[in-house]
Amino acid sequence: MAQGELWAERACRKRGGTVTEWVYRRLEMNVVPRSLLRIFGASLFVLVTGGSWFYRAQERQVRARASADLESIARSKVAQIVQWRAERIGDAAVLMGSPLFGEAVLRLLADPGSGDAERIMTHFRAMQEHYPYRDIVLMDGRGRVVLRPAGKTDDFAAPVLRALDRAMGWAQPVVSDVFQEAGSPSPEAVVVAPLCAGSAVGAPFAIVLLPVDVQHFLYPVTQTWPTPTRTGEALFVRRDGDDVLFLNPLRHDGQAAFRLRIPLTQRGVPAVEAVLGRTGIVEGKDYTGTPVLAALAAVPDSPWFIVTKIDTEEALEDWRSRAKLIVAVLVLLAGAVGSLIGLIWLQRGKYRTLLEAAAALREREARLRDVLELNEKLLGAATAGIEVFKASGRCVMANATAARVVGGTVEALLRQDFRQIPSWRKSGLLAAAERTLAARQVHQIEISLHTTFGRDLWLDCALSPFEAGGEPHLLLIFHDVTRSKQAEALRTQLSQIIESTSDFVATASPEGRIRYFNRTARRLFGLGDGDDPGTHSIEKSHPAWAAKRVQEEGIPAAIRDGTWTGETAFVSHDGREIPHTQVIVAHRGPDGAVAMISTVARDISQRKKNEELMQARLRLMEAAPSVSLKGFLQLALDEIEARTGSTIGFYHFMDADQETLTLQAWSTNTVRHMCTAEGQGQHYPISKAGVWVDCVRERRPVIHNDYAALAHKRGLPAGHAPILRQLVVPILRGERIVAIIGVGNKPAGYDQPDVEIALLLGDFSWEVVERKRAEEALMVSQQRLQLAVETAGIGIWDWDIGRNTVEWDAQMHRFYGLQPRGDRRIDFQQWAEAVLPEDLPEQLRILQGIAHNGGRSEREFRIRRADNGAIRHMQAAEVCVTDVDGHPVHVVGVNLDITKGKVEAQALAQEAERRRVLFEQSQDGIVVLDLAGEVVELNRAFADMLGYSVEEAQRLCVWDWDDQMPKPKLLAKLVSLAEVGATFETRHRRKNGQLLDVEVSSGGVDWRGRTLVFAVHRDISLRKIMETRQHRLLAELSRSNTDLEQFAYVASHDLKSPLRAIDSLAGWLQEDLESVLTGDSRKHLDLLRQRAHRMERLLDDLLAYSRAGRVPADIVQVDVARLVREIAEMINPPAGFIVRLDPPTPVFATAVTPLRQVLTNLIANAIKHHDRSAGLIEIAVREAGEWFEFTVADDGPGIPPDFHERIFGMFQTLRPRDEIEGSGIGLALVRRIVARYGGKATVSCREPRGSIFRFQWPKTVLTDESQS
Amino acid sequence: MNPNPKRVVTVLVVEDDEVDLMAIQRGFRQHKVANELVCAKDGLEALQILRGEGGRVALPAPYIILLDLNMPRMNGFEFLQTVRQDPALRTAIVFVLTTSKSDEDRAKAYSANVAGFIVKADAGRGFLGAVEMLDHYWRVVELP
Repeated sequence: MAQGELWAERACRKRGGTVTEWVYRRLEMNVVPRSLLRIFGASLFVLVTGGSWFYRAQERQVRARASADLESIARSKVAQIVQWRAERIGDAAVLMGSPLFGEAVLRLLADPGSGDAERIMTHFRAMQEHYPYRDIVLMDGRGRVVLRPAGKTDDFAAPVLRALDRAMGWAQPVVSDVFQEAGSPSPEAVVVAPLCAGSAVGAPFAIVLLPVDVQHFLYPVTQTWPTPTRTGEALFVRRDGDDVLFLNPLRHDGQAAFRLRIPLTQRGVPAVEAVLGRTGIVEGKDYTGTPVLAALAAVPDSPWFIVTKIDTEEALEDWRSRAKLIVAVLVLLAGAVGSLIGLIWLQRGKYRTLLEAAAALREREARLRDVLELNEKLLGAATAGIEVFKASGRCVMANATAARVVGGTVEALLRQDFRQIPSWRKSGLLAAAERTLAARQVHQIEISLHTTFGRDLWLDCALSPFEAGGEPHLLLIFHDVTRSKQAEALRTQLSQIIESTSDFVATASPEGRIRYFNRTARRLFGLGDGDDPGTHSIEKSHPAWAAKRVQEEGIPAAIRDGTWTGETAFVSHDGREIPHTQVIVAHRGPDGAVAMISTVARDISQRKKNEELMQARLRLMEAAPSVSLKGFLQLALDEIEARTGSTIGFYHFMDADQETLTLQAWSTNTVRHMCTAEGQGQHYPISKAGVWVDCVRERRPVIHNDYAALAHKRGLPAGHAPILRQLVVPILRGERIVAIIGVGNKPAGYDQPDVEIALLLGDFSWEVVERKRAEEALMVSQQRLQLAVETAGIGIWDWDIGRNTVEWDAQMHRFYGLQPRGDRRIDFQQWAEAVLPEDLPEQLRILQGIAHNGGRSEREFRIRRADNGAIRHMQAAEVCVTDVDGHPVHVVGVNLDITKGKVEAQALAQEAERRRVLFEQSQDGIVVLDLAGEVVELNRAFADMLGYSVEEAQRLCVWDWDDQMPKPKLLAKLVSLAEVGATFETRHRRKNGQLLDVEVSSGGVDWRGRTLVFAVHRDISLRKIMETRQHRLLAELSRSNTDLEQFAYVASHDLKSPLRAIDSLAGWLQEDLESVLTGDSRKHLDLLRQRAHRMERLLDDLLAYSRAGRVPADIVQVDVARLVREIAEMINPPAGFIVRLDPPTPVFATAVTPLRQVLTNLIANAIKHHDRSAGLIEIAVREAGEWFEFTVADDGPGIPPDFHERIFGMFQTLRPRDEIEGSGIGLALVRRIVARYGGKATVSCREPRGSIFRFQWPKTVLTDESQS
Repeated sequence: MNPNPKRVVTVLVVEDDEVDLMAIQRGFRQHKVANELVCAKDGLEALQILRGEGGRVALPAPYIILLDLNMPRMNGFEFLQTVRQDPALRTAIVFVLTTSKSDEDRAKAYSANVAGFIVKADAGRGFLGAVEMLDHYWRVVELP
C-alpha cells in the first residue's frame, strides 16, 4: 500500500494523473470496455482496408512502370532489327546499282570461265569488310547457280526460296526469314539482291545471295537486356503453321531456337498472343508456365514478332518486399497495442488499489492546497512583509508585500539565503536574526537598509522563531516605516528652518496667546531661548497701528479666508519700529475649528530703503534725457542729499591726470541757501585742496562727522557755507577716480548706510554722465557725419539681413532718381534693375559674399537712373556688422556718384594717351630737364636727333649736347627758361661729335612741386643751309641788281650823249645848209636825225625797263581816275581819240609810279597803233578778290591771236619801226612791272574790232625787303 | 629895272662835251645874246678860271655858271661842293645843265643851292629855251 501510495503520489505529481486515472477508472470494470474494443476493431478495420487499398495502388503503379519499361525495350529491339534489315537491303541496293558489278556478272553469265568470278569475289570481299556476309552466291535469271562457295549445294532452304521469289517478283532486294538448316552451326538469313538490267523493272538477269550469320547481330539484339534482370528476356518469334516458333535461344531453354513451339491454342502465353496480332502489354503464363508481364511488338514487313517479358514476380518483387515490411510493421503495431491492452487487463487488480490510494491522496492534497491558498491570500493581503526562512538560511516563503517593499520579486526573495544578504549584515538584522534563532525569542528591531534590489528603506522588523517540519524556522514580519521616518526627519528639518530663518515666525492660539517664537522673533523682542513666549503678547509686539491692523484686520481675515498678507511693523526690544510684511495663517483642526494661528513676517526696512533708492534712480533716469549735464548733476546731488538727510552737496569731476578736480555742480539747496562761492568750472589741484579731497588721497569714502575738530582742514573760501559734518565718496572706474561727490550738514552723524546711498546714487549718476557724454559725442559725431555726407554727396544704405529690408537715405534716392517712400525702404529689385546688366552679376556676388562671410568691400559699377535714364558710374563700399556671435546682422554701405570723376579720369586718360602718342610720335625731339640739367624725360625723336639710344639719352645732362656756353651759364639759362619760356636757335653736339643746328622752343613747367624745363628741338640744319644759300643768293642778286642799275644808268647816260650830239649836229647842218641841200640830202639828214632819236628812245626805254620794279616805289593813295586823267593829258592824244574811264574806279594805296608806267604804256600803245583817225580807248577796273583787274580796251585794228604772246617780248613790234615808231619794249615793260607785283598782263581780241589789254594789280602792295 | 647901265654878265660854261658846248654857243648866237662865254672842260678848270689860277685872271663878276654834272676829273657835284665851300665863290649862281633826268641828281643839286636844274633833252630845240630864259634872267634878276 505504501509503495503504491508512494508511486501514486509520484505519478500524481508528475502528470496531474488524468490519463492514468481515466485508465484506472476504466479498469474498475473487469471487462475491456466495448468502446475500447470497438475502437480497436474499427482502427484495425481501417488499417486493413486502407492498407490493402494502398497496397493495391502501389502494386498497380509498379506494374505499370514495369510494363512501360518492357514496351520501350520491345520497341527499341524492333527498331534495331528494322535498322539492321534496312542496312542489309541498302547493301544489296548498292550492289544492284553498281554497274561494274553488273557487267562482271553479265560477263560471267555469258562466259563462266572468264576471270570475272575473281572480280566478283573481289567486290564481295570489299563488301565483307563492311559487314561480315558469310559468302556470296550468284544465280542467273532462271535460278541457276553460277557462283557458289565451296562446299555448298544448290539446295536452298524454304525461307530463301520464298525470299528469292519475292525478290525476283518485285525486282527488289529482300531479306529472307531467319532459318537454321540442319547441320548448320548457326541460324542465318539471306539477303537477296536481284540484278536488273539498267533500272528497268523486269526480270532480273542475275541474283546475288548474301547469307548472313544472324548470330552476329540479330541474336545479340534479342539476347540483350538493357537493365540487369533475373527473368527478363526478349523473344524473337514467328508463326509457323499453327504454332509459334521461337527463333532465338531462351533463358530457360538454350536450344529453343527453331525448336520450341507452342500451339496457338494456348492462349495466355504472350508469344502466342503476339503472333496472333495482339500488341501492348499482356499478363500471362510464358512457355515455362511462369506468370509473366510481357510487351508485344511486331517487326513491320516481316513475320517476326518481339516479345519482351519479365516474370511478374520480378516485376513486383521490389514492391512486394516493401509491402511485406509495411504489413509486418502494422501487424506488429497492432500486436503491441493488443498486448498492451492485454497487459493492462491482466494487471487490473493491482491498479485498482493504486487508484484508491491516489484518490485519497488527491483529496488530502486538495485540502492542503486550500489551506495553502488561504494562507497565501492572507499573506498576500498582509500589509506587512512576511518572510519565512529556514534556520539554515534559505527563504522558504515570501509574500507579495515583502517583495514589493524591498523592490524585488517573490521568486527573487525565495532564492535568497538570509545569511548571504549584505544588507542584513550591514543593518544589523542578521545579528538580530541570529539572536532570535539562538534565544528562541521574539526580537523587534528598526533598521535602515539598502536592499539587494536597490531600495533605501526604514523597516520595523519583528523576528520570531518556530518549528516546522522538525526544522527551526525564522519568521520575519516587517513594516515599511520609511515614510514616517522621513516625515519625522522632515519635521525636524522644518523646525530647524523655521527656527533659524531670518524671517519672523510665531504661532499663537486662536485667542491670541503666543505659543512659539522662532529665534529671529526672540532676538527682536529680546527674549532668551528658554523664555516662555507666552509672556509676550501681540499687542506688545507691534506699534499701535500695526497691532490694530493685525487684530482687527489680519487675524479675522486669516480665519475667514485661511491666510492674510499685509504690511505691518514690529517694535523691537530697543523701541525701534521696524517695518515688516506679515502673513497670517489660520490652521484648522480635524474638527474644522481654528486650532492655531501662525504668522511669518519679513523685515522690509532694507527693501524700503532700496525702493526709495530705486525710485531715486528712476527719477534721475527719467529726468536725464531732458536736462543738460549740469542740471542732471544737480538733480543727482539733490537726491543724494534727500536720501542722506544732508543740506549741501557738490559734484566734482576728476581730470585725466588725476591731479585736478573741476567743480561741476552744487546741489540746489546749496546754491539757493548756502553757498555764494563761485560755482561751476573752478579747478582745484589735489595738492592744494582741503580735507574734502581726503577721499581721493585715501581712495575710499570719508566721513567727517565733526568737521570743526579736524586737524588738517584748510579752511573754507569766503562765501562758503559752514560745514558741520561731511561725507565725501569717490567714484571709481577701474583704477581711476573719475569724480567725487560730497554731501554735508546732516543733522545726525553720517553712517554706513549713507555711504552706501551716496556710492550707489553717485555711481549711477556717473553712468548717466558717461552716457550723456557719449550721447553728446555721438550727436556731434553724427552731425559731423551728416555734414561730411552732405558735403561729399554720399548716399548711405542699410540692409537688415535678418528681415531682408533695405533703407536708403535721401541722397541715395537722388542718385538713382527715385522718389523716397515714407519709410525710406527700397525694394531690392529696384536697385537691381537700376544696375546695368553687365555689372549686376559681379555686384550680387560681392553683396552675397559680404552677407554670408562678413568683412568689408569696395566696388564700382554703373547704373541707369530711373528718372532720366542717364548712365552714372557709382562707387560703393560696405561693411558687415555682426552680432556678438559673429553672425552677420546688418550690412551698412555708401554709394558715391563718381561719374564726373570717371568721365574726367577717362578724358584725362585719353588726353594723356594722346599726349603720350604725340610725345612719342613727334618728329621734334622733346626733352624734359630738371634744374640740375639732368634729363627727366625724353622722346625717341630727341634721342635719334642726338644719335643716342633712348636708354643712353636718359642718362645725359644738358651740357652733354650743348656746349655753346659753359656749364654754369647753361644752368642759369635753364633757370631763366623755367621762369620765362623762349624760342631760340642753337647748336647741339651729337654723339659722334657732329654739330647739329636746332631750333629750341623751351619753357618751364611745375610738376608735382618740381620745377622742370621742357624743350622742343627742331632740326633746322637744312633750314640753316637753305638760309645761308638764300642769303648768298640774295646778296648776289642785290649785287647784280646794283651792278645792273649802275650799268643801266651809265649806259643810258653815256650812250645818249653822243646820240644827242649827232642829232644836234645834224640839225645844225640842216639849218645851215638849208639852201644848198638837195631833196635827197635833206631826206638823208632827216633820216639821220630820226634814227638818232629812235636810238635815244630805245635807250630811254631800255633804262626804264631795266629799272622797272626794282626801284622801291613809294606807296601813296592813288585815285585811279585822276591818274588816268593825268596820263591822258600827258600823252595828249590827237583829236578824235577819246580816253574814257568806266566807273567805278578805286582809290587805294599802292606804288603809283609803276602803275602809271603801265597805264601810260598801254594807253599810248592803243593810240599809237590805232589805224583810224578817231578811236575810243576804254579803261575799266574790276575787283577780283585780292586784286584789281584793269582793262584797257581799244577799237583799233586788233592783234591777231598768233601774236598775243610775241608782242610782250623784248623789242618786238608788230609794224616796222618806220611805220610806227616804237622801241618794242613798252609791253615787255608792262609785263615786267605787272609780274613784279604778282599779276599777269594779257591781251585778247575784242569784237567787233580792237584789243583788250588786261592786267592784275594787287590791292595791297607789300614792301619788298629783298630789293634792298 | 636896274638904274645902272647893266654890267654885262659873263657865262661860265662847265661842259666836257664839245657838241653840247657848240649847241650852247649856237643857241646864244641864234638868240643874239652878246654876253661873253667862257668855257671850262671840267670842274678843276672851272675853279681855276673862277679863282684866277694858272696864269689866268679871275673871272669878274657878274657871272653865272652853267654846269654839267658828268665830267672827268671833277664832276659837277664836286665842283658845286667846292664852290659852295669857297667863301669867295659861295654866292655864285649856278644853273645845272645835264642829260640826267634823275630825281636824285636834281635833289642833290638843289640841296647845293643851284639856281635851276635844266635837263638838256627837255630844254627845247637846241638850247634856245634855256638861252631865252637866261637872257631874261640876267635882265630881271639882280645878281650878287
